[in-house]
Amino acid sequence: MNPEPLDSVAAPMPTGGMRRWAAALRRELAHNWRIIRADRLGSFGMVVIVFAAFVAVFGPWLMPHDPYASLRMTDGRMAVLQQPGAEFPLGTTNLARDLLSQMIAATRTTMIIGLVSGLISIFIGANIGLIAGYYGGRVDNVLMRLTDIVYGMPFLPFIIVLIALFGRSIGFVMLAIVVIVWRTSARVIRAQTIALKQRQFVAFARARGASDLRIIYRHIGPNILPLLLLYTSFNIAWAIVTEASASFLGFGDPNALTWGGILQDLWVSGYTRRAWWWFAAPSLAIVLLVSAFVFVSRAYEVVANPRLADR
Amino acid sequence: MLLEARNLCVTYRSVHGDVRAVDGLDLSISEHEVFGLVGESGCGKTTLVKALLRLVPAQTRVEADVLRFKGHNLLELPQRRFRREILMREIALVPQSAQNSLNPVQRVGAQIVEAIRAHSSTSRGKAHERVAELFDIVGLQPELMDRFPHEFSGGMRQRAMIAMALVFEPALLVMDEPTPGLDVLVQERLLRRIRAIRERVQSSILLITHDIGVIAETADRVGVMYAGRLVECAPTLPLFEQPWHPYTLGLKNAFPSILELGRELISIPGSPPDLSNPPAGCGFAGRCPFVLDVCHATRPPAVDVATGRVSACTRTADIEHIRAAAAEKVTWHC
Amino acid sequence: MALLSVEHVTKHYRIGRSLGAALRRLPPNWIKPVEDLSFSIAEGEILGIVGESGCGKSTTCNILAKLTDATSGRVLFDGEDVTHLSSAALARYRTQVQLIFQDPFDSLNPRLRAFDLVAEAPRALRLWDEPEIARRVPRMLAFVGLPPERYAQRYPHQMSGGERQRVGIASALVAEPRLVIADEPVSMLDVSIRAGVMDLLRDSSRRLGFSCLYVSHDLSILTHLCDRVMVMYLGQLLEVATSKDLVRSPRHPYTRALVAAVPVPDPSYKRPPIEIKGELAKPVNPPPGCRFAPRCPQAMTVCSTTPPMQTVAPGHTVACHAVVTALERKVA
Repeated sequence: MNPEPLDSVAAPMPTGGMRRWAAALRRELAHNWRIIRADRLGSFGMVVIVFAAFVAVFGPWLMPHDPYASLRMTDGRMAVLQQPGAEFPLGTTNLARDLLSQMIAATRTTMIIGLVSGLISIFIGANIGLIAGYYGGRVDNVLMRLTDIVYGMPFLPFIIVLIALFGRSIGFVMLAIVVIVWRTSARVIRAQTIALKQRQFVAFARARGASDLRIIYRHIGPNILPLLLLYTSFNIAWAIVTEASASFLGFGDPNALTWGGILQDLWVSGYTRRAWWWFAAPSLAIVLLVSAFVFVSRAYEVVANPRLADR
Repeated sequence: MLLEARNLCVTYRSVHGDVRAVDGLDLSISEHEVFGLVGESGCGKTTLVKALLRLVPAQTRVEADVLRFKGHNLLELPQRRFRREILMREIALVPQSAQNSLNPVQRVGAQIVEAIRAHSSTSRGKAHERVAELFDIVGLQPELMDRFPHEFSGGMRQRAMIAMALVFEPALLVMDEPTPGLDVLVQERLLRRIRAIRERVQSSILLITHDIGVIAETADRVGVMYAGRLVECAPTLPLFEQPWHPYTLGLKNAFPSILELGRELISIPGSPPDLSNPPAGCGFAGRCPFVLDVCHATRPPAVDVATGRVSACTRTADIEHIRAAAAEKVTWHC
Repeated sequence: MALLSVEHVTKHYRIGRSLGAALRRLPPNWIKPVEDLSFSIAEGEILGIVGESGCGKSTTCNILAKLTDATSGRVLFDGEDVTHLSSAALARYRTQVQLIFQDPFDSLNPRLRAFDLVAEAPRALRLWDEPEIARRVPRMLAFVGLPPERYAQRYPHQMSGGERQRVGIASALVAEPRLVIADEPVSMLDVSIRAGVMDLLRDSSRRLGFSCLYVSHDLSILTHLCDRVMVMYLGQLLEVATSKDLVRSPRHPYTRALVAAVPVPDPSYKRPPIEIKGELAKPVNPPPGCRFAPRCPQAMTVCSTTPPMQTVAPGHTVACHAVVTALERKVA
């Protein structure tokens, strides 16, 4: 058990709700940073994520070419299906588009879809899990039956129907992802909430006058935080993979390029077997980013289940 | 001398470094006696038990000048021989929270029979007879052999565990906190039963507890343990009537008694020392109201203060004054 | 007028049967942890409840702290019926009645610091604004013996058992309750620390003027700390007396056995013989009448009806047919 270093003794308590929240948030982030840093794979994952975020943010300035422009090589020919080389580090597509620029442009969309869907799904899942777990009884039944129904929904048919009804757009892709991904986190967080509900510190809070909502969010919430962060990271990983699958199958937004979309272009072009570079770049990127998030979530596993540390 | 330990040290590894849970302990237990080891949490008594039975985790160092049991040198005995000859046969343990050590899906009698047959080549019939005999010794009705643990009350489960420990008539029966969480009536009955067992079997009993009431009732001799060391050792009655060590005096002060309703309870301020950084001097120096500078510097040796009585305190000469002052609350909380 | 008055409070609940039992239409199992309990606590008094597991003392604490509801009966606080409360009234009740928990290792939220733990009641009950809380909480920490400069920012795992329990006490007292219910607060602490915590409770009761209901299975502690002690067995109240009277002249056969069985730190003490037989039962489907009768050496046929509580000496009441019969015979 690592003892928390005692804060400086003379630090005055910040008054005012907002400032307390900010101080608490800062503490939480610092604490989390330490957790991730302690785990080697987690640190590696974090580096990858930060790098991807950097590329996502500064993409437009980093791209050497317009991702949709058909380019010519120095000698004037169209740069069609060029292998990776000095001029085009990741190669080009059959339409003479620079793969590097495409990858950079797609990073932003992929990250946004992954992060947003991941975060929304954990938000939904965590709240459902907390509320179902805490209240039990009818509320729990209803929420869990809902979760069961959603478990029964297969991803592919669902997104096909969505697209058929409403057309292809980022919004629906994200909706489909969220619907699929929140399920597991809801169940797991519900299970932990049920376990925590029995602990005496919950009775303590109740005896001191805390309302149900206060108990859920102020008392139980912080205790499920490690599990929550674990599943956040996991959900984001799932979201990215799901989005890649959807885009690859052709259900993505045609106006927003993602890594899965690049693979789709490859597939449609028919050059899958010959343009290995076109295949390698997005695939590796997907694998790397998803693994990064999973590694980070593994770093939280130790915190969520301290016994793993003893071995 | 059944068990003799001199300068026993047990050091185990933890995330924060080495912890010296037992720090130079001297202990001797004779045949056919009940030795009570009393100490609070963190004093090292559970580690001591584990060390004696080789149940310590890996990377734990057990060192001593002497550690002899019935002629065997326990420090040098190979693990296989220890397992075969000593564990369960000569030294048996009734562990802490023994009540939870029973397999809930197996009948109690069957579990003991299995234990017997795992450690010896006894026939099933003979093993069964032995269990019946043991049940009689511990005061459980024979028909309970065919019941499941959940049908036993807490006190009964405890007795079943004692029966399991007595299977091979060990020379030394070690009971680690036999009575925590037991209701007063059940506890009294169990202690009475322990005394009765003691009459019928030849075993010595090492009784480990934090409850001096239990010790007063059950033990022939008492050792008071603090911060990994034995600070006082004496036969029970003299220990209670005339304690020598300030910690013993403090313990007595802190214990309520229905025989002395008007007496004010005095707690001992402070807390036990951190054993990952054991103090150079006396372990109790940080909390002792009679402390002198020399107490922090050097460890007080265990001194014979009377026949069969040992106390590890530098100030044994001032004992009369110490005893009188210890009875006042202001001495401890000024 | 008594501060708290409990009148004929009963708690029953059903537990499930196995499928086989349901098919065979066997009656459901009832657990009856508290049966027809009546007592009162005066202002400033420290009342103890002693009993073994299953006697109903913890359930009584939970009912009075409103962590669970009574099945029947009334609870009066300061003359007002508080048996069923709306949530607003419940909040008000909680400013008057607080609970101290048994387990210092489980009752404190591991993610909250000492300051926040003590501030929980005033914040949850919206008693004071933050500046006021920032003034009162450190004062309360100092009052229980934990200097705020060193303890306010600590997490539970940075404190010892005794220190945690003091935080628990501070968190209960900060809202200035009039009644504090203490559910075995020292049973999980080391012996040498207990006295300090018990003294803290008693001294603060005197200084701050609150009443205390102290529950324990350890009679030695109760007789040391409490003015009066009640004895419970399997949900029924058997005897009430001052500490001294209870120990010097226990009347009920169960109380006599309890007093005889108490561990005493004196090896020369000769324990009086204990005559009760059998094992402690669980409060499942108990028979009518006195629930101690199956184990009582003086059980009579009339014991299948519940004995009423009767005064046998000033301030000393007992619910036992045998005791009352013996008294009547003496008088006759």
